[in-house]
Amino acid sequence: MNGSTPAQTLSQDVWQRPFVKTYDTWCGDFVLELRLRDVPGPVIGERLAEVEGHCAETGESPSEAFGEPTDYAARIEQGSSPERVPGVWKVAVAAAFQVLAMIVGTSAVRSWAGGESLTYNLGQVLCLALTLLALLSLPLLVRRIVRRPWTFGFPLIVAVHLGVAGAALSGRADLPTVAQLPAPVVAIGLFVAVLVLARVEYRELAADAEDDLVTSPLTVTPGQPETAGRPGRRTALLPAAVVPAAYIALAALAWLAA
Amino acid sequence: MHSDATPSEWLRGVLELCVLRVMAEGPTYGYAIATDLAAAGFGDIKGGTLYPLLARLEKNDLVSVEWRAGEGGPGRKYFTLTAAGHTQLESGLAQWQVFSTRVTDHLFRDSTSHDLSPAGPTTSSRSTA
Repeated sequence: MNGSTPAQTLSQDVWQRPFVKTYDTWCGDFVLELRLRDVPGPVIGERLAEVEGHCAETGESPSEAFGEPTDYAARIEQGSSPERVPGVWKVAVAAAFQVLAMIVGTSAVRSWAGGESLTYNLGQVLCLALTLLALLSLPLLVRRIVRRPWTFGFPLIVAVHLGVAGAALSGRADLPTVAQLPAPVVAIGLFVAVLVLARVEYRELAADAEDDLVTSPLTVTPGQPETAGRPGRRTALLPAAVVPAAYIALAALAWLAA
Repeated sequence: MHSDATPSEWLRGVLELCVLRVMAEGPTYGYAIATDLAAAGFGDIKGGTLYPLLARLEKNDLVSVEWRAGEGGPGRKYFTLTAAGHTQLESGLAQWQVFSTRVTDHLFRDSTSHDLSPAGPTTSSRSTA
């Protein structure tokens, strides 16, 4: 879509606006549906500003003037070329491989502590592949998971847990060994890989958060806060640091338990 | 019972043309367009119908948009017809004239009854001879 010029350079996080606070359910559902359609933050802010401006003039509520928020979101973005939030796939793939590296790496730590090599049999490899597939399908299924968590989210969580539990149980089964690896090399190598992937995630998340804030082009109401700084870098740090931190914690537990 | 309300399925086909016609008067915003259409007898056009149409016009570069600080309100998004928008309006008006004449001619071609006659100048005359 072509860009519009805000009335002023001041912009406000939409969640600070009294209108959005008053109709938080409608506005929340509307923003969520547009997010799921990969509509960029500034465009979402503009769509919400149209709703607010119109309701301010007519005195109607958003549901009276615009109907159901999800239906309206679908209509307003119909025919728009999807402007995918950049990097979403990169982050999803990096996160999926991080989790897998953590599972393999922490079991390597256990083997290392016990003075053994890390061995994988066919069953374990298949179960880990299933886990990886389930993790990689997350970005494809995210819309369905949000709408129907019990139908789509729950089975996916079960699939991931089954994959991990299956890999653990297969380790005890008498299946042919397909990989025998030096445990210290795997444990340290995968930790380095997790750190590299965390760096990739952080860069993508920080860039997205900077570009994707939902801001309103409307006049800031006196007494209401404007957009306070750019929280992009701080908010990107936490998800990027979670897996490396979990890796260290689980590795320490595995070492102590061995 | 006779009603002046325009059937919604008729309006759906011509709403874009009517909105473009409102915009031909100068830059305007969503609520003013809805008010203008209501005054013209098209009934209450809801925001949920109007804004997706405006978004489509914007996406197709038929209008340019500008946010202006509101007078007492939070702000207004003004729409101005672009050159492409003017061309679209002119071609739409020409097409509508052809279409409406064709429909009227068809609907009243063998009219012999006053009940079927439209109230306008196309009323068919009957010979009194």
